[in-house]
Amino acid sequence: MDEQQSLWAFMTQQSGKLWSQTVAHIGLTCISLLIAIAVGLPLGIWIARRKKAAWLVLGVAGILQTIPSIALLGFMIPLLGIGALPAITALFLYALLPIIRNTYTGITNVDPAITESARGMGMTPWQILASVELPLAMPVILAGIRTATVINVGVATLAAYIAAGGLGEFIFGGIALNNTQMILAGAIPAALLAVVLDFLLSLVQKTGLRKMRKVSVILPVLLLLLSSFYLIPYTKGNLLAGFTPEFMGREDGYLGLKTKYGLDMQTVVISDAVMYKAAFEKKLDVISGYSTDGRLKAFDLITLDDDQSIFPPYYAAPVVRTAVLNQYPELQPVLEKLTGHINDSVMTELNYRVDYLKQAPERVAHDFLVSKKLFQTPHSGNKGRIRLGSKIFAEQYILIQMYKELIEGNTDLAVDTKTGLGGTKICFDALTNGEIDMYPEYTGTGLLAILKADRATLQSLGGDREKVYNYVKQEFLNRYKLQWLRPIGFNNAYALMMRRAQAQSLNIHSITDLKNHATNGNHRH
Amino acid sequence: MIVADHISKHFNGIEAVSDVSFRVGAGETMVLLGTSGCGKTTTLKMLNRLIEATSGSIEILGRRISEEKPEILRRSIGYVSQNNGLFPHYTVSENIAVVPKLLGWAANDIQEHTERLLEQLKLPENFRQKYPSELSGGQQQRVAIARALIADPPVLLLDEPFGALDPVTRASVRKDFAELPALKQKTMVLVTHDVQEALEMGDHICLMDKGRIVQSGASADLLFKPANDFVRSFFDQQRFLLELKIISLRSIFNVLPNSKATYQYYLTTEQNLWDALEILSVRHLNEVIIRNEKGESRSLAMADIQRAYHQAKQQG
Ligand SMILES: Nc1ncnc2c1ncn2[C@@H]1O[C@H](COP(=O)(O)OP(=O)(O)OP(=O)(O)O)[C@@H](O)[C@H]1O
Ligand SMILES: [Mg+2]
Repeated sequence: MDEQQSLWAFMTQQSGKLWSQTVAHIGLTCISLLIAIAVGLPLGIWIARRKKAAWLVLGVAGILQTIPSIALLGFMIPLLGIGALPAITALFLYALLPIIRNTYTGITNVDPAITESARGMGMTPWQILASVELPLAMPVILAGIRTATVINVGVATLAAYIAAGGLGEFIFGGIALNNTQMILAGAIPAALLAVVLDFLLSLVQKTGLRKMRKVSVILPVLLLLLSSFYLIPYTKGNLLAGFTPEFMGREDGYLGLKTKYGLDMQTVVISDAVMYKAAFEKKLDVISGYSTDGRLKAFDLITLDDDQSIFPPYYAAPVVRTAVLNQYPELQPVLEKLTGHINDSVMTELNYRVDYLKQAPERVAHDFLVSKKLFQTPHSGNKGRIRLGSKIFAEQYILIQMYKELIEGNTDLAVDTKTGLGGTKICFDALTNGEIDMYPEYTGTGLLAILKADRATLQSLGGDREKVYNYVKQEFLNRYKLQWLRPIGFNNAYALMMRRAQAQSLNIHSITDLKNHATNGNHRH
Repeated sequence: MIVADHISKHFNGIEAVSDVSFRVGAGETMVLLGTSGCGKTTTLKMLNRLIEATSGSIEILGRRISEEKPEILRRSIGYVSQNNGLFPHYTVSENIAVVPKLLGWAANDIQEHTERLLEQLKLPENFRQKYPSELSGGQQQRVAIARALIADPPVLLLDEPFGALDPVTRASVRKDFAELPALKQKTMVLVTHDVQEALEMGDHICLMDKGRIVQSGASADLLFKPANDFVRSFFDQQRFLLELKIISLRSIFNVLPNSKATYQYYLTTEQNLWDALEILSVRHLNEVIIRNEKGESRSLAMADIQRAYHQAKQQG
C-alpha cells in the first residue's frame, strides 16, 4: 500500500516528464511502425509475386531481427549519430520482419481459385491486389503489425540510451538509481502502452473480412496521427547536454545542477556507453561523465570545475559481506593491498587502455599488478570460493581482475567473477542476497543511491571525503551487515565534461561558467 | 463464335494440350469431355487467356484473342471456374456485381439485373446480403453462375459448373441453369467428365484424352460411330442408356403408326427412347402416345423401340 501510494506520488510529481516520455514513446513506436509498414508491405507483396526473392528478403529481415536490440542501437550510432533518427531506424528494422513475413504469408495463402476467378472476370492485377488479395490477407498482415507493435513498444525503451527519449528514461534511470518507483513509473506505462495498442489492433483485426477495405485506410491515418506526437527535442544553436538516466534523477546530478547552480539548458537522456563519442562527434556539447573515465583522455574532453561542490566524493572501496570476512579473516588485508597505488590519473590511464586501446581488462590489471610488484603466482585455491561481482564498465572489470589475482596469489581461496552485473541496484541486490561476496562500490553511490541519505544528512556531511566514508561504512554495517574496506584512493566522481576546444573557445572552465553561458544564450532568443 | 486452331500448351516441356482444333458456332454449346487430367481445364482457360497457349491461335467473335488486352477480353466472356471462386469477403450481391462494376454500370442497373437473375436461379431475395460461407454448395454454384451471366456476355465458359454437387442438387441446378432465358443465344463451352451431362447439354462434343481430341462431333456420332477403341470404351459403362437417350422420339415419329387410342400418358417429340422405355416399363403399358408440336399423335410400342434402336446401331 505504502509502495503504491508513493508510486502514485512519484507519478503525479513527475507527471510532466511522464507525459512527455509517454508521448515520445508513442511517437517513436508509431513513426517506426508506419515506416515499417510503408516499406514492409510493398516488399511483402513483391516477394509474394517473386518467390525467388522471398528467401533472400525474409532471410535478411530475419537476421536483422536476431541482432540484440542494444547492439543494433550501437551499430546505428557511428552511422546516424544519436537521437531520434538512429532510434527510429533501429525500431523500423525490428518491425520489418513480422510485417514482411505476414504480408508474404497472407498473400500467398489466398486461395488461388479466388484470384483466378478474379482474373477470369477481367480484374487487373492492381484491382486484384486491392480488392481481393490485400483484404483477404489483412487479418494475417494485421497480426504481423500487432507483433511489430508490441516488439517496438518494448525496444523503444532502449531509445533512452541514445538520447531519443521515451519511457526508458525512467526505467533505466530507476535501475541506475535503485529507485523502484522510478522504474515502475516507466515500466507500467510502457506495459500498458503495449497492452492498449495490441488491444486496439485486435479490435481492428476482429472487424471481420467485410470491413477490411476500410481498415486499410484507417490504420495508416491513425498511425500518422499518433506519430505526430513525437516532436524531436532539438533546438539548434544552443548548447546541448546529454546526461545518463542515472544522472538525470540524482540530487547530486541534474537535480543539483538545477537547484544549486540554476543551470537551465537543453538536455537529452543518453547511455553512458555512447555519450563520450557523441560529445566527441559534436552531437552533444556537455555530458555527465566520470572523472576517471578513460574516454576522457581518448576523446580529448575536459572536466568542468565543480565550484559549488554539488558532486559528493566517489572513492572506490571493496564492499564485502561480513560473514565472508569472518569466515576467511585473511581476505581483508589482501583486499586492501591496492590502497595507495591508484590515484585518479592512474585510473584514467588504466581505463583508457581498456576503453580506447581495447586492451583486455584482465591484461591491463595483470600488467599493473606486475609493475607494482603485487603479483604472486596463484596458490592451490582449495580452501573455498569467493565470488566477485562488478558493474558493467571497464574500471570495475579491471578492479575485479586485480582482486582476483590478489586473492589467488595471497590466499588459498579460489575466485569466481561475475562481471557485468548492470547498475548499482543489480550489484547491491546480488550482494545482499548472497549471490556474490564482494564488489567495488563508490562512497557517493552508497550514500545517495543505496542509503538514500536525506537532505539533513547530506548537509552535515558536506562534500567531505572522510565523513562520507565513515557514514557509509557505519550505515552499511548496521543496515545490511556489509563491510566497506579501505578506499583504493581514486575519486571517480561525477563531472561535467566538454570538448577541450569548445570549452576553451567559449571560455568555460567551471559549471558556473557554463550556467552563465547557457542563461545568456537562452536570453538572446 | 469460337475457333481454336491447332492450339497446344506445354508446362515445362510436358504437353498438357496438344494440337487441339475446334469450332463452336454462334449460339451453340460445345462440351469438352474426358477423364481427369486430359487437359479440359487447360483448353478452356486458353480461351480467356487465363493460360496462354504455347502455340496455335484462337478467335472469338471474329477477333484473335492474342491481340486483345486480356482484362478487356475477359469482361466479355462469362467464366465459371471448376471451384466456384466466389470472393469470401464479398456478399452475394457484391460478388455478382464485380463485372458490371468493372464495366462501369450504374448502381440501380446492377441491382435490377441481380434481382432478376437471382429470381431466375431460384435464390431467395434475402440471400443478397449473405456471404458465400453462409450458403450451401449448390447455392454457391448458382451464385457463381449468376456472376458469370450478369453482364450478359455473348460467350460463356463453364468448367464443371455442377461438378462438386450431389446428383440430386446437380440435376436441379442444371435444370434451372438450362432454363435460363439468357442462355438461349449464348455460345458456350462446357467442361465435364459426366457423360450424361455432355449428351444432354452439348450440341457438339469433343472427347479428349492425354491432351488431344480423340473424336469430335454430335453425340450420336461418338456413340454409334466411335473413331477408335478409346471412344468406344469411354461410353461402354452406360452405353445402352446413352444410346437410348440420344435417339429422339422426333427422329422416329414419322415411321410410327397413327394412334386412335386416347391414353392418359403421352410423351412429346422432345423426349427420347429412354423416356419411352421408362414409361412403358414402370407403368406396365403396351403402348404410349407421342404428340408433336402440331398436335398429331402416334403410338409407340416396345417393338418400335427395339426396331429404332437396332436401326440406329446398324447405321453407325
Ligand atoms: N499450371 C500447371 N503446371 C503444370 N502442369 C499443369 C498445370 N496445369 C495443368 N497441368 C497438367 O496438365 C494436365 C491437364 O490438366 P487439366 O487441369 O487441364 O486437366 P482436366 O482435364 O481439367 O482434369 P480434371 O477433370 O481433373 O479437372 C494435367 O496432367 C496437369 O497435371
Ligand atoms: Mg479441370
